[in-house]
Amino acid sequence: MHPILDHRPRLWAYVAVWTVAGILMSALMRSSGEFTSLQSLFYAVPMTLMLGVAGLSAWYLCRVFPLGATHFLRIAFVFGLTATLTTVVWMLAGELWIAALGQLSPALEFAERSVSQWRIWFAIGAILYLLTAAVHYLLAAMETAREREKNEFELKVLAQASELKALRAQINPHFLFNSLNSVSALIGRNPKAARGMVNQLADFFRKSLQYGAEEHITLEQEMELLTHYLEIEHVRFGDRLHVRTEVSDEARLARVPSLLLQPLIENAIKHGVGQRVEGGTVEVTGKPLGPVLELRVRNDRDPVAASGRGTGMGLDNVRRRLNALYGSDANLRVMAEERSFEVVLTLPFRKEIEA
Amino acid sequence: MNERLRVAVVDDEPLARDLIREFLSHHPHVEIVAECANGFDAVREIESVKPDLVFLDIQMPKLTGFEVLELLNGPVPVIFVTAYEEFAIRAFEVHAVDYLLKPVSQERLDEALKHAAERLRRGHAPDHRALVRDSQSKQGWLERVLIREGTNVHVLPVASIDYAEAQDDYVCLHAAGTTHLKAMRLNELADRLDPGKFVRIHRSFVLNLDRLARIELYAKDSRIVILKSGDRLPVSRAGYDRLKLLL
Repeated sequence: MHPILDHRPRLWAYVAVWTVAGILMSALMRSSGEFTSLQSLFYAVPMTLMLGVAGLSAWYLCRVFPLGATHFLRIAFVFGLTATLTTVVWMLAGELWIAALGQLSPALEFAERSVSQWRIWFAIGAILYLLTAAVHYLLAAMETAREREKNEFELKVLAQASELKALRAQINPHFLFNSLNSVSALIGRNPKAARGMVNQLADFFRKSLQYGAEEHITLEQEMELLTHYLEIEHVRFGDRLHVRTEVSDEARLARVPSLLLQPLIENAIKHGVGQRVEGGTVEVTGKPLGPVLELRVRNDRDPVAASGRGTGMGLDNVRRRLNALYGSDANLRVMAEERSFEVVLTLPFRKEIEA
Repeated sequence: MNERLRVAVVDDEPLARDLIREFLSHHPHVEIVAECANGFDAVREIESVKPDLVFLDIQMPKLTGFEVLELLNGPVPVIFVTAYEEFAIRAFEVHAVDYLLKPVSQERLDEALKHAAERLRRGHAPDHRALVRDSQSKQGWLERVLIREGTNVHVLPVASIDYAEAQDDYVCLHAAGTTHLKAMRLNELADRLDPGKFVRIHRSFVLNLDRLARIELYAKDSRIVILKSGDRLPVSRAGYDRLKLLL
């Protein structure tokens, strides 16, 4: 996007400024006494406008050589060179213009004339070109600032939204009501198990609230939460749900966004194991790979499960959250096979700083 | 009130079935004739034992509760049992279907049972077609087609369908060399398939674009498509226009 060409009001302003400059130039030309007013107008206004058009190309140089990221001498050199070249070409074009005017309208009496004060013209041309370049740099800076502001705002909104969603996700009403139904069933036939389930539920919700309020927790804490969650689901699903966790002691020290894995586990049960008559396994693995922490959640799945829909939402949330927190330093990969579904997360491996 | 009531309980969680069984045990006239843990079994059992009333969970392996209803031949009185499906609860209200919310309580179950028994006595045959249609329209483009062959249920992913052919009130689905009949109009099916992947090439044919090998001029102004399998299907002029848009 060119900040002037693609912006109608700015383009008009630009043309207006250059027209005024052209008229001033013609006044200057007239004051030398060498040319008549008419001659000055016919020469200086088109010439100035031509320079204005040439000046628009400075934008592309501004883009290639951004102010903050380029050495000052380099910018000075680049623009010194382009200013010189542009002005020389521009003045040659001016000579052609005079010749053309001399041919086309003899009344102007331009024949065999030439601009004698070429040094002044050269200086003014180069200065105007450099001024135009400066204006382009200014516009580029404005654009960057606006862009950054927009990005920051978006990031903030996104972070808040995902935080809310994360909170809502762990207090999934479906999970809560189903669990309460199981407790109710157990009360009649196995009061001890019922009490155990109530305690698991209480622990799970208490920890969810506690950890959910923080941006980061240790992987150890996240695993603790998942254990409660899986214990509860185990009561519901019975032998259909198998769980395997393999998280190294080293990995457990890592700082991870709170409740990051929880929605993935929930998906693994709801859309994976829960859709299989014979049940299946949910596997959670975590290990450091050099500077990176790798977390995997894998589950068995039915190749023609009732609904693959809905899995996208939870995953999308996790992906966006990782992106907001780590940018390109984190990654989420999905490996979907006919009978297996795996999500692989990588994020910077940072240990919890001991308080 | 004390006529015998034959009941089926369908839920994939054993504890949830336990709870309903426990609550039903307080009603001596109720006999549990079937317990099913997934949708496939539910369809089979309900068809074979013909219960008077079904307690039906929504989220189950293989088939959802709605899909079970879709596949049953005749109307069956149902009490849906669900934990929390906003859409479902709204639909139950709209279509006046009995439902229970988990955790299920004895009082609510007694009430629902009484209500259902009354309807039965008055010979109210429930019509769940509108409810099933509602649940389908919530699902977006069709991902799989459910087919009953005798007492067996097949799940056919739509991606495996080569083409569908209209046969009166049935659709004949051609997939990997085999064919399946489904009681459904081709129009109905075509409306629910992703229009980016399936094209109505003819009044009687819907083609999976993936399977298209080439289009040939057959006679002046008339064309046929040749599938990768070598099958040849007629293309109407309107069908050709639709096809061209996607190629």
